[in-house]
Amino acid sequence: MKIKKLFIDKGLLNLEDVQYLIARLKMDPEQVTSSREVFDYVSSTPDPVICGKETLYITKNHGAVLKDCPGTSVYTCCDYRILHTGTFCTMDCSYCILQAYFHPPVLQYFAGLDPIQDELEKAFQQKKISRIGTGEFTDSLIWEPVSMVPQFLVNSFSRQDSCVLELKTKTVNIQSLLDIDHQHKTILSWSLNTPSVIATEERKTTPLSGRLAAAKKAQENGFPVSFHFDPLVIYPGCKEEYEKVIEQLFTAVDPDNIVWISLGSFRFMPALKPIVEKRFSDSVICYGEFITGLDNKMRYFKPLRIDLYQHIISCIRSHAPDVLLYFCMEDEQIWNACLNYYPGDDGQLGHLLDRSAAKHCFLDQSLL
Amino acid sequence: MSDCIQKIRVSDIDFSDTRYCFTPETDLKKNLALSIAAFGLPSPVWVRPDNGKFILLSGFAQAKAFSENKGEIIEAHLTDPALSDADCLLKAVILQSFPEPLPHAMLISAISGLSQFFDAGYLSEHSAAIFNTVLSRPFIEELLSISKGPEQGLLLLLQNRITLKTLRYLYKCPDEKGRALFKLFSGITASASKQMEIAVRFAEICARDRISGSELLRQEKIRKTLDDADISSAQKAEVIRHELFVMRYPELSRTKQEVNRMIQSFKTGSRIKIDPSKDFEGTDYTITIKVKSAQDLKESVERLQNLSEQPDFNRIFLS
Repeated sequence: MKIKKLFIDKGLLNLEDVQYLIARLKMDPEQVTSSREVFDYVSSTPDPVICGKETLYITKNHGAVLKDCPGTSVYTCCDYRILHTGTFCTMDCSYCILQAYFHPPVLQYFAGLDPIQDELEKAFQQKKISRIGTGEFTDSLIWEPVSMVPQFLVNSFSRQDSCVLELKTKTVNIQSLLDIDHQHKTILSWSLNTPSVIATEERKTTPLSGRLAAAKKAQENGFPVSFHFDPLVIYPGCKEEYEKVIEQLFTAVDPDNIVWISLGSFRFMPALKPIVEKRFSDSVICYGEFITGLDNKMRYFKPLRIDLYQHIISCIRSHAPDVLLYFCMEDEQIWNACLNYYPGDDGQLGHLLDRSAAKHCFLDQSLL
Repeated sequence: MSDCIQKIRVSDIDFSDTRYCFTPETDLKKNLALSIAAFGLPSPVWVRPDNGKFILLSGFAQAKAFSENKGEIIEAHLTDPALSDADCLLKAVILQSFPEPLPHAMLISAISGLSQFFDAGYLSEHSAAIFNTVLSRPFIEELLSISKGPEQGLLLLLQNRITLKTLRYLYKCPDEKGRALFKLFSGITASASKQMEIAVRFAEICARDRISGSELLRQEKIRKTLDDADISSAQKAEVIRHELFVMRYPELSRTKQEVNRMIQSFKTGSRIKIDPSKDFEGTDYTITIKVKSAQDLKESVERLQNLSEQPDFNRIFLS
């Protein structure tokens, strides 16, 4: 992580978490009265995406702190809830939709722990099992070395038994969390891919071996873990390479500690393609056999997805017959062809995930 | 002296000086020559006096046709000799931009010439008056940048082989790939949308397979199609477009072909149509039945019933 410019909204300097962050970044923030100043600064540079990754803007979250994952009606969603702690990412993955999602993309750190605490308290009081994650609009742990938010979240979740926190990352930033009495309510989660995809498409991320070593360490410290094979990329030899990744995964981690493993093939909004072509001119990730999906995102031709999923599932099952596998945004045909069942459109997938979370994270079983 | 109309000798026109001509097209317009022979020159041409000779500003095709008809004296507007090069160029552009704005190839050429004297901001500000159409500054700057690209691109644009959108795409391709695409488009004729499909598929196959554009052009089916003297350039475009689709989407095209073959083998006739979901992404297939009567409907339903019981029928659903 290398931040070259730090902005902060006026009036936020005295917040405890902000002082903690600034002290560790060892930078003098430039105070602004409007986000427009920051966005104009980023937009005026030759490569706003790169500038956005090197510019941190400490601001208030003016939107919802906790909201449901938008999903789509045409593919089965897992009914996840998203906790907004910031936006964008210091790593640079070619396929990252955040490049096209924000205009312009800027690293934002949402200041203040109180709004988060207030929203979490409401969720905890609902007495309903919820799976909450921070990894939708940013990597969950990029700020861990300099922010008190990850520790705050792990501590908050440890004091209740209806909700689990999933921190999804491609980093190894878990050091400050290891000694917390987490009560198994935080799932540390890694996005996995083949070494060649990581090397060519996931700039500035941790290599596979590092991620798996971190997962092993998390397991040793009692954390439940989960993994996301997403995005799966189809290329010559990919099946064999994913197979090796799975072997390495189960060498590092005990299947009994895995809450779930998700699978999702690479899909993208058409607007992302010119960005990838411009910023990652050597990448061929967008030149697979993509068709327009029912949600207007580009997806691999379905028989190709089924073929890869079936192979990966068979490999995972050979190591971990009972681990919960699910698809992120796939349809009934894929579920049936690859997992021999379909959880339906009425929240059944969410229920399956809740059950696994309840089992691995010691949630209140009566809430199921 | 201000502009005036005079009769001048055709032999005094320097046809080789094309500084005000924004199209390299010099083919004789036969119908125009016939018209001039039968009914005379439709309107005077415009010329600039230059050391006893005349340089054409407008009416290139008319003057050439007139000359081919062995005409000796032609009626011409003479510009004020005091006009500067910039003024003459501006006048030439204006004369050729009304009543219809210049096509893109000529516009690029005109803007390239005018840029020697006027900046993009000035040209944009006065674009309606000069070009008979409003042009934004970024668009003028883009056309200027295109004018500095390979001449082959402008020629293809002028010949209506490619649109400006396609040309933009080709210019963004790396040099070698761009040259191969210029070569490809010089041999085919396709609509605007098909041009882009062809260009994008071609470029993406090269990138995906790590091959050069010339290697792809040497691919047997493409090479043979381009060399085929018995089919038109439009037919060549269709064949190459399909071939590029097969190369770009091998599994999808194979599946489409296979499912279509299976559907045709059911011999449902023209009144029952079976359509898979687009690119097989959805799970629903559509069956359309055309009927003229209740009896007709009954027969079609029976036919479908029989069809659904055939072992092969389920194979079209790819499940």
